[in-house]
Amino acid sequence: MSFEEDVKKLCDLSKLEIPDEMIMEAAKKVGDVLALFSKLDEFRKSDYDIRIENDLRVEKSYSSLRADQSPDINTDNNGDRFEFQPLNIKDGFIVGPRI
Amino acid sequence: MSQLFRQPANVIVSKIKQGEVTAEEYISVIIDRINSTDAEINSFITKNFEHALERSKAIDKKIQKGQTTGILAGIPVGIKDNISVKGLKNTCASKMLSDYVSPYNATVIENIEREDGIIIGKLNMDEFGMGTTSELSAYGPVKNPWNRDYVAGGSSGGSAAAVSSLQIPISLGSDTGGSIRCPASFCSVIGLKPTYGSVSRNGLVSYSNSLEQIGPIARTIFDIVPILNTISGEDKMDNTTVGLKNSYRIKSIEEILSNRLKVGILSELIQSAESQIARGIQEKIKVLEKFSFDFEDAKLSIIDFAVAAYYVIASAEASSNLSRFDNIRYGYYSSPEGYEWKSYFSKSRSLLGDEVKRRILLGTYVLSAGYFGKYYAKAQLVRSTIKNEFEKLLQKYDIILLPTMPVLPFKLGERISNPVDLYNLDLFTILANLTGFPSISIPAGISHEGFPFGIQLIANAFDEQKLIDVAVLFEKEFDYKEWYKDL
Repeated sequence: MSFEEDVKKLCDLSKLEIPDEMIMEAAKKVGDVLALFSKLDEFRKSDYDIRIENDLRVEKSYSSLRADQSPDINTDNNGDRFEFQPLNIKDGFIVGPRI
Repeated sequence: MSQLFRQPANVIVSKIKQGEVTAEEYISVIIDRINSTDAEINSFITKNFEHALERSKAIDKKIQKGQTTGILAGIPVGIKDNISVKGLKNTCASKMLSDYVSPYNATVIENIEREDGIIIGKLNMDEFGMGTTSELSAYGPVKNPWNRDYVAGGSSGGSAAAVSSLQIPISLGSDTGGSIRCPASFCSVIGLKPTYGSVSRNGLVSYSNSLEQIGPIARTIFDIVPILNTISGEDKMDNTTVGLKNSYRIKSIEEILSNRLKVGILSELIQSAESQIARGIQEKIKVLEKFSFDFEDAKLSIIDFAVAAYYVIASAEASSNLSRFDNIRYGYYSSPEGYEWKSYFSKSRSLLGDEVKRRILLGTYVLSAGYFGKYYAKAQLVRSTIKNEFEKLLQKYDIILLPTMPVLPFKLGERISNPVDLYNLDLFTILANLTGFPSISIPAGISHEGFPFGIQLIANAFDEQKLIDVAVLFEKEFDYKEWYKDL
């Protein structure tokens, strides 16, 4: 399958229309950016001292975010208790920023 | 009186509070200024002049009655067109939202109005904040006040150009990968990206919500401080905000110098910038050496992967966030007759611009099951590694110093056809977004051809005060608030 066909499939998945006459140009530019993304293939985790902390993996059960249910997990990765008290809760769910 | 537009906001507030000038007189001067210059700059999408005059009269009445007024009393603030202002169009510079009127105020707008600031209008930008030049707007490109054939930088190009061209003293932008600092550098104004979580994003139209942050632009650090104090703080409508309410202030030079600041210089990045920028920044560092800072070379080992990781994450979040623009939740009127849901959805989104479509496609691709580990998971690992490296650097140094942009402003249309070329220009600014740390761009000089460039400072999370302190020293030494082009 050509890359143009791949881009058409992507358009379908993304609910986007790109006219046929522009698919080649769109595919070329998407291909150029994917070539940039391929730089990540050179990244080797073992070359770096990576500390994975809460910013990457937060092990919280969904129920811990519910005010109407008692949390079944209330410890972090180290076994310490964490407290999470969002200010704005509606019907037991956190209300995030609008839009 | 007619030259009041040249004055910084902090001076005008004093004049208004002391009765030397009324808020209405000042706003009238500003309206005249915008009307006489905006055809050349194209920084405004929506003008809110009637409301601004009404508000100014109300502030004058408060003063006449001896009531207390806020720290922004009578000051017009321009708002990037992706921040919601009740009753005003919120187009995000997109045809898709050309008729969308916001039904509520963003929290930052509520805060500004509480301090008696006046929302003067909505400012031009790259569509949905996706761009580095402010050329990708459905309302035409923003032009650089220093040379109208050149780009103003982006995506908050209207916010920077309006301040630089003395249309308004203060504006708000949003910064996802340098969108405040890049145009600040290209237009010779100050742009601050606060720490992620220190300013509410409630009411900001999300493009990449783990990276973006609302922040101020002004010509002097003395105007950045009051607007930053106004907009920062915890907000119950945005649970990513943090409950630290720092009160920022302008310290005396003696007080600033009483702490011997350690500055880490990213020399490799300085050397990789255009030669005039590299030379200009080295000269500024030499001048600052008299302040007895400790300057040291700092190194980042993982810089090569930053652009790829940033754009993978930003595209992934964009493809998710922009799915709401489907003509059902958000969009424009278009008859659904003859369409089933999916084709109606696709048809309606044909009004999105090419760059926006490209990022949605890329986001869909990198999140698809077969590629998730190759792109998205790896990008998040790179992000964590960059954050770790910065944390280590900021244990050693108070401030990290680097150029804001590697290039000077370039001609309109010159780079628009090459997305990768534009993405690579963001290398210096995306670091603060990937890490969440606060960062400021300060005017650092003017090239031989007459184009401004900026110096960028990054501090630890919630250490904006250190950025302000160094900016005060810069302003005292170089008086950059007087660098502007007369239109």
